[in-house]
Amino acid sequence: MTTILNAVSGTGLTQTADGSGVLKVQSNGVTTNALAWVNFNGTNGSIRAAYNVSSVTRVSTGTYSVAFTTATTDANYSVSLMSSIASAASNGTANQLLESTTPTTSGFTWNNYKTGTGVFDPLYAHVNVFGN
Amino acid sequence: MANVIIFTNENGGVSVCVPTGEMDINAVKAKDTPSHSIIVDDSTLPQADNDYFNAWELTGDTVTVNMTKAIALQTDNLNSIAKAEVSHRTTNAGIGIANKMADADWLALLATARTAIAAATTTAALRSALEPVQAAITANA
Repeated sequence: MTTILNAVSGTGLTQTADGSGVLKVQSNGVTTNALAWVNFNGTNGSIRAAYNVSSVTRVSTGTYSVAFTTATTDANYSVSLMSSIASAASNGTANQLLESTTPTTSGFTWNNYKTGTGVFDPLYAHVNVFGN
Repeated sequence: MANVIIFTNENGGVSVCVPTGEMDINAVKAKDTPSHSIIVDDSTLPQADNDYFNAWELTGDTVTVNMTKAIALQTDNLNSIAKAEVSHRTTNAGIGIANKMADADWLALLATARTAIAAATTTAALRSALEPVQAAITANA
């Protein structure tokens, strides 16, 4: 359940509210604000700040799972990931959603990969989730 | 210090679940982790050996580093950085730049590191075993 503020063409602003503390801002029924986000330290999993994320699990070196506090409406959300690197020499870095662990309405799993040395733990891991 | 939820994962390693604080940790444990997970103070984890996280093992409520796995990880590390350096050395040779260390000495250094890694009984010894190789790579950069 969520509180929804929806700007509807020809109607104006509609509101459905509950006590979940989760807010969706919508344009014609499409959610425009983040469903969830988290900033954490990948070397030990400590959380710096988060919204609608109940936990981050360090599965193995460089591989993490995010669990949502309130499940998403569907699993077709869009995820943006960014992680830090130790130096400019650490090029060839990628954040990868793992197809072996399909995203669900409860969360998803990804890893941080660096060409040459493989998966690694970033000091700063940033996750943003948008969707309905 | 903070409480975290840990459990042995399907690979035999340890997964560490860190609650964000939006929910009570017991609710997170029930929702986000397997039933065999346990809650521990994160100060009890071997954080100094985070670089050997994939070698962590959970026995009872204690996490330790499995040295057999740690040796395998460090051997993989050595192979990875050595392969990259071999590529660098080959490139140097191809464009007429002399490598700082002769090929025979480089190979001997790798062999020494490999032997030291295999014989290591602590993670500190594993790190020390790699240092001469890393220093040689830095010098040849």
